Amino acid sequence: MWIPHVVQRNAMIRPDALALRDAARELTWQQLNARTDAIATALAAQGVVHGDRIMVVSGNRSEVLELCIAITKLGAVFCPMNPNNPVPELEYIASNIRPVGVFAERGLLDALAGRLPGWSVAVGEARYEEMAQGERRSHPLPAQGDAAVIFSTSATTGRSKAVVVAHRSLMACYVGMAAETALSRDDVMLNPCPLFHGSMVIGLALLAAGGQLVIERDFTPQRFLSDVARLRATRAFLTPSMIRFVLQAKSFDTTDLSSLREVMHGGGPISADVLREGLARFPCRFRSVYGITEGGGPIALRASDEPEPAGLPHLKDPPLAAGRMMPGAHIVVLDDDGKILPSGQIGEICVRGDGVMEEYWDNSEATQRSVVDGWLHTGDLGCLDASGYVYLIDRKNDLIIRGGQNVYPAEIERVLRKQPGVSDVAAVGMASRDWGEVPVAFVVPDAAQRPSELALVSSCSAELASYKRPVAVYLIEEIPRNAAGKVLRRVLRERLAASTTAS
Amino acid sequence: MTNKLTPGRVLLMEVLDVPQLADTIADDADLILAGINSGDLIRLGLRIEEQTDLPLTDDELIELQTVNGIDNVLANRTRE
Repeated sequence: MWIPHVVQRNAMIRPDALALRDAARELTWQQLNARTDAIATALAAQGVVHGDRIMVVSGNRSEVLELCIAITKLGAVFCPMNPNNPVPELEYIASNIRPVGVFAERGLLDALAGRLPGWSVAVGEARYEEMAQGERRSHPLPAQGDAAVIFSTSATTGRSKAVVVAHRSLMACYVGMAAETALSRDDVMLNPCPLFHGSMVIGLALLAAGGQLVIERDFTPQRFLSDVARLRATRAFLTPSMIRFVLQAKSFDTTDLSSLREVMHGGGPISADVLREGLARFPCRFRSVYGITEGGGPIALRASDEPEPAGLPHLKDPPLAAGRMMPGAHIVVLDDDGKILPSGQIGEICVRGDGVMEEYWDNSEATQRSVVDGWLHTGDLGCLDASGYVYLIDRKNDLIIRGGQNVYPAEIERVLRKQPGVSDVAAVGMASRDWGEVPVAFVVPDAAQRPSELALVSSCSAELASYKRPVAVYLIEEIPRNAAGKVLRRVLRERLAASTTAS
Repeated sequence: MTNKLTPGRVLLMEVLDVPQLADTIADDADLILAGINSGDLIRLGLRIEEQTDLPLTDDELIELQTVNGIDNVLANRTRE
């Protein structure tokens, strides 16, 4: 019941306050409640029932949030998708979650014509507006344990998995964020991060606090800065790459940023240099948000004005502390046998609480691997210090985080392996100043046919979202493997680091 | 396909991780639809600011969607 409750409550308490805005329009709480009631009623008339999944494939715009609210008011499940996904990937996701219909922007809808099951509606066009301004009926509130959102995430297998998030999880995110960060109805938050990303739950938490959420269509550092000044934004959620770009913009020093109280950053670790420069030049505190979609979004937070953590004196060159457990998200470090490790010892970071996902959709095997005895295994290796701060040391899997978005090597390898002239392939992450990491691929060519780098990259463009495309493909004689045949990615990463240093 | 090496296309090649991709894009093709990562366009905007020592305006940002658009922005800045 969480999302419908939040919107109905705010519409009663502060009907004329702004709830949502983007470049095209502004909606008060009353308007947002009325429009989402009407869309829910139209969906019900179309045959949508409790538990049905509805795909929303769109760039950032206020209608995406509107649909999230309308769909969940009906007890149906909002399934936001990356609009940059090539059509075959969207088809694959649809074959898994089996939606009853799809909302998409016109261009995408045309590209998807006849490829997805069920009905379709173009976001923002006449039919959509008819739905939003039509008859309104009340609908029974969904239960807290009912699925509200299904996020698609990258997966170690190379095919995306569908993370089922319940209303209860979204409330847990709000409770933890509000308690720790004092989200309030006076807040205006800029959100340039994609709304199909797990971080969108932070925007929902801000709405739950009665604040105003500003949806930025496409992030550019210049527009971000002008919007902070124009809208007197008090908060923003950015990835470390975005912060880096904002600091480089020519207009930074001439923009009035005095309204900002906090810049939250997440999606990947921030470098000490970017954090130092950000703190020196922004007129506000920074807050690190460590999270995982399967954990319900944020699970640990750290504000820049907190006292220095105890630290990890026994480690040479330790990483920055990612944060302390958010209220409601209990974090421990477990060893391979599932035993809790004392502070300072490195193991897998695990979390439990109401925020944790219900399951991976239709994939009980993967769910059982990820959630063991109630603990969600994050795949991150790290430790806690004596003051409870979490440190991320490495990853248990081979995840590559490019500018806050996850890429698994298997996704790239699956595509490249099918290409003519490719005998063997392995992908790894390479350090990048702008993105934290970028994917690169190593390919062993067939003796008879040597593929070109451009042809291989182009093949990835056709089947993968652009951020998953390797930035380079190196042709080599052999992929290093251990005796069991497992790719030795560490060796490949070392080879990359050595060649970067040499050049 | 070989396209004319205009200043805009040269700049695009400089910011792309795989510069050869720039040669596959028609002058008036939408860069994102042609497979260019939105992050590369951010770097392109910052590179233009750096080269001309002037912040990009909203109108200029909107124009940076095609190779022709990049050329227009560069040409107008050179004129100014």
